[in-house]
Formats: sequence, C-alpha cells, structure tokens
Amino acid sequence: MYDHNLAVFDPDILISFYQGMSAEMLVESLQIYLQEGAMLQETIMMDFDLGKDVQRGFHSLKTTSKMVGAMRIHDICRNYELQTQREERLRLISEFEMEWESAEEAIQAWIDAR
Amino acid sequence: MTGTEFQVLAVDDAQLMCHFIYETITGLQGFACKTATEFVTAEAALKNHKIDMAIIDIQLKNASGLTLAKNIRMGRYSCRHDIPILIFTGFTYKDDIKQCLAFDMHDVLVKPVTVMELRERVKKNKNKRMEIKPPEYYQSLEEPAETARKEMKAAITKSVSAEKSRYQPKPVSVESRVESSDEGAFIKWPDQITSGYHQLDRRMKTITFLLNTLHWSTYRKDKYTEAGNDINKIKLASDDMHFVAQRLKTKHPGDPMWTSLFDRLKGFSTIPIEKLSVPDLPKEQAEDIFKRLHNAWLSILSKPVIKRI
Repeated sequence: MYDHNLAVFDPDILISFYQGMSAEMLVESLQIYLQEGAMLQETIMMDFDLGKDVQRGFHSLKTTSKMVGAMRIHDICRNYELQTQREERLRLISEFEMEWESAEEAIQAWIDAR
Repeated sequence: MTGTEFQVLAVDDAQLMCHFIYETITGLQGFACKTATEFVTAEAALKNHKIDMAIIDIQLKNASGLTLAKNIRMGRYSCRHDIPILIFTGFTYKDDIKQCLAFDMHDVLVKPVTVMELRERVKKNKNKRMEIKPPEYYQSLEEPAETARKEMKAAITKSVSAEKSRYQPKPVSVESRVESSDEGAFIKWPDQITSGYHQLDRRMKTITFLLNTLHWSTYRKDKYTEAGNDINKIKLASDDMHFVAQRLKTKHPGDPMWTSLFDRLKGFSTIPIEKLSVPDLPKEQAEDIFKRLHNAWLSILSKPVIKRI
C-alpha cells in the first residue's frame, strides 16, 4: 500500500526545498498547497467515481506534496501511479481521502503556530 | 521591474510550482519572472512580452509543454527563437528526452528541485552558448510528423467511406432517461440527509446509484451481460465504505451510529447478490434478492446512521 511510518507533514523537508526563503514565504507556499490540494482532492474523488482517469491529478499532487513535506500523501500518489489493480487503486483512493484530512490538519497547525 | 531585467517565463499547471519558481527567480539580482499555468496564457506572454528564458513543465493540463517549447524554436512567437529553454518534468520518458535534444532545449530538470539547484541551472543556462539553428530547421523537423499525421487521417477517412460503415448506433431508450431521475427508482435517495461524514455520504450515494442501475438493467435489458461486472462494483463499493467507516470510527469513537452502521452493512453484505448474474434465474428468486437488497439498503439510509440536514 503505502508507508504508514512516513511523516504526515515534515517541515524539515519543506525547509530543505525552500532553502533560505522567509517564514512568510513558507507559510504562503503551504497555503497555496492546501488550497490547490483540496481542489485536486475533490476532483480526484469525483473523477474516480465517474470512472475517469485520475493519474494526472495524482501525478501533480505527488510532486507538490514532496516539496512541502506531506510525505504520506506523496507516497500514496506515488503508489497509485505504480498500481494497476482496480481493487488496490480503490483502497489507495480511500486512504488518500483519510490522509488528506490528516495532512491538512498537521499543516494548518504548523501555520497557526508561526 | 525596470525593463532591463532578464525576463523568465515559468509555465506549470501547478500554482505552487509557479509560485516556487517565481520566488526563486526573483530572488536573483537582475532577474524578473512571469508565470503561466495554462498553455494559452503562456502563448499570450510569449507573443506580447519580451521573454529571455522559458522554464516549461513538459505536461500541462490538456496540453503539451513540449509543443510550446517547439513553437518557440520554430519562431512562432515574438520572442527570439533561440532563448534558453529549460524543460521541467516529473517523468523521464525516452521519447520526450529525444524531442528535447532534437529541438535543442538547453536543459532538463527533474522535479522536485531545491531553490539552490534551480538558481544554479538558471544562471548556468543564461550564459550557456548553444548552437541554435534557424527556425526553418525546426519547422522542417516538425513537418514530416505533421504530414504523416494528415496522410494517416486521409487514409483512414478514405477507407471508411470506401466501404459502407457497418456501425449501427444503439437506439436511445427513453427508459434510460427515466433511470437517471428518481421517478420510479428502485431506491430513492432521501432528501436533505447526511451521515455526518461527507466521506460516507458520497459512498452511500454511489452505492444507491449502482443498485438502481442493477435493478433497472435486470428488468429492462434483453441481455444483461455486464451484470457480473456491475455486481462486483457494488461489492467493492460496499467493502470500501466499510473500510472508510472503520477509519472514521477510530477518529470519532463517540458517535453512537457506528454499531448500527456496521450491523446493517454486515446484513447487506450477506445477501447473495451475485446470484443475480446467473442467466435465467427464476423470477421469484430475483425478486426476493432485490427485496432483501432494498430493505437492507434502506435500513442503512435510516436513523441513527443518517439524519436530516
């Protein structure tokens, strides 16, 4: 499936990509990620139900999730791209829905603490 | 912006990537940055502004970033055709790399990249001397592919019109329109209800729709060859709902509806729905199974599992 030992949100990874950028920039980036991610998440869920291909959405979210340190989401997206069995994809979609909420909470908590 | 700055155009369908590239580039002295999340916006920037470098994601939403890059090389915009082009990609497909080489792209970056790495690549490629051929050369590279596509299309059109097409569209059934409305539906979705969890609401609606499709198809279609497939979808959807409900329960253990939901889902899952795919199943048996499905599913769409909004 995906690695449950990965951090929901690792701010050190965010900082490693955004080297030298201000705290305000980091917060702004996370807010963009949450906003864009929420829209992608909704689109993915709707499209999957309609039997549409959701590969593109997962691919986009895979890269941006890694950049901000949302490592579980990144791993789910990565695994979805590799998975071909419908049952497994369905399970990953469900995991994605749950983990997205956890990632949102963790990231928002970090933003609120700045 | 003074106008003498080195103007970079960043094209990526992810807002976050555009934001990242913008902040990274504008942190360099003497650099300015424009961003575009769509192919048409990028084209407008290339036609209307002085662009000195382009950083382009290879795969844009509903369009190819590589096409944009090739258009630059073919001199289709008002910018110089020989500006440095950096291709940004999350993939490393061999064909894409070949195209990048053929059209003399300056660099290929694999996402994600750090601020430092991007700045180094931008500075390096700003000064990189590359032999860029005239636009006509790149146009000639594109033309054989375009001609081949047109010839193939003509050949297909010719062969289809030469023989009488045997395709006969299925007559549209008025009844199939009825299926989409609640009128006469096997299970009517109650108005203004929720379980309190949007993850469950969405799944319950999906399963309701699937059950209605199964019922309609069983009684309206002459030959229901997809029955097995449709039944499998219902079983998968029900398993998925169970799985999600388990996860939600660990987060919200105090909700009193869990016991009822799991009991009723268990009742639903014990109904031998797969028998409906048996050819020539006696009518009474099919009716019995549907009656049990109807009652079991309606019990799930009832209190305390669901409440009125």
